[in-house]
Amino acid sequence: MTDVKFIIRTADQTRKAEVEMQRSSIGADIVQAAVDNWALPSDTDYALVNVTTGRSLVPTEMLDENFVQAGDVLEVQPVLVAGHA
Amino acid sequence: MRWEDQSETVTLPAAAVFLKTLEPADEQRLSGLENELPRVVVTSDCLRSMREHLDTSCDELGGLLLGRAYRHAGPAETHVIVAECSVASRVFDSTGVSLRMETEVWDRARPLLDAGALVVGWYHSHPNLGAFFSETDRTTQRSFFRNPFSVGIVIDPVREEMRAFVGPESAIVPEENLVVVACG
Repeated sequence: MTDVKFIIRTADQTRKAEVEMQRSSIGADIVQAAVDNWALPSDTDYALVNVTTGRSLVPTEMLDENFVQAGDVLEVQPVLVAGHA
Repeated sequence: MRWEDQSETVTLPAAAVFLKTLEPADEQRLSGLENELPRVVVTSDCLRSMREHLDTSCDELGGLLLGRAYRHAGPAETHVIVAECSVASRVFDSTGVSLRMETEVWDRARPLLDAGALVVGWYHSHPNLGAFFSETDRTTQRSFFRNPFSVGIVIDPVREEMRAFVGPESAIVPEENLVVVACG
């Protein structure tokens, strides 16, 4: 299986990394890598969006060529919560 | 997997440039502050759009704040954070005491980030509960708005209260440092 090199960033665009992963990796692997490398909360829900194409990747979907091409920019978007409960 | 971090420290312009664009009264009010704490500036258009959004429900609502941040030189350097516009969360789950904003709000914010504009923070309402940061709010601020110039604004539309909290530790912004300016 070939690798693909892309850019990943946080939704507020203050963190960015160049990542090379196997195309057999899935969306959840990318989110987990962002959580690990940027010390993001692990108890939060995230969406993964290819902002170059506008497509979202579900956690179980592989990084095939339909979703990401070399050089594309992917964004890890957190669900935001507020409240007192 | 290979991961090469390319995050860069955000370089902020000097606040003097921004202050000169304000109406004289607003410029004097901001320049006259003697403390060295962050200044949070909300444009009147931004405040209006937040209020129009938050007034639509007795449950909590919220969204993102877009704008700019500046370095404010003084005895201790601080920041001037300018909230220029708000992006309301449209896909959410909320009650009178809780709010979950789904990720579509980030997609709608992205096209509005022109050169120099940032996601400077977030806002939400506490209807008739008072304008304060709960522990959940602090955790969200610490996790996703952790720049020293990241601001969280809480508005109680019933009690007509507004408070701002800045940075990863959610430091409260003194009332005199939270300024609504006339510019759009």
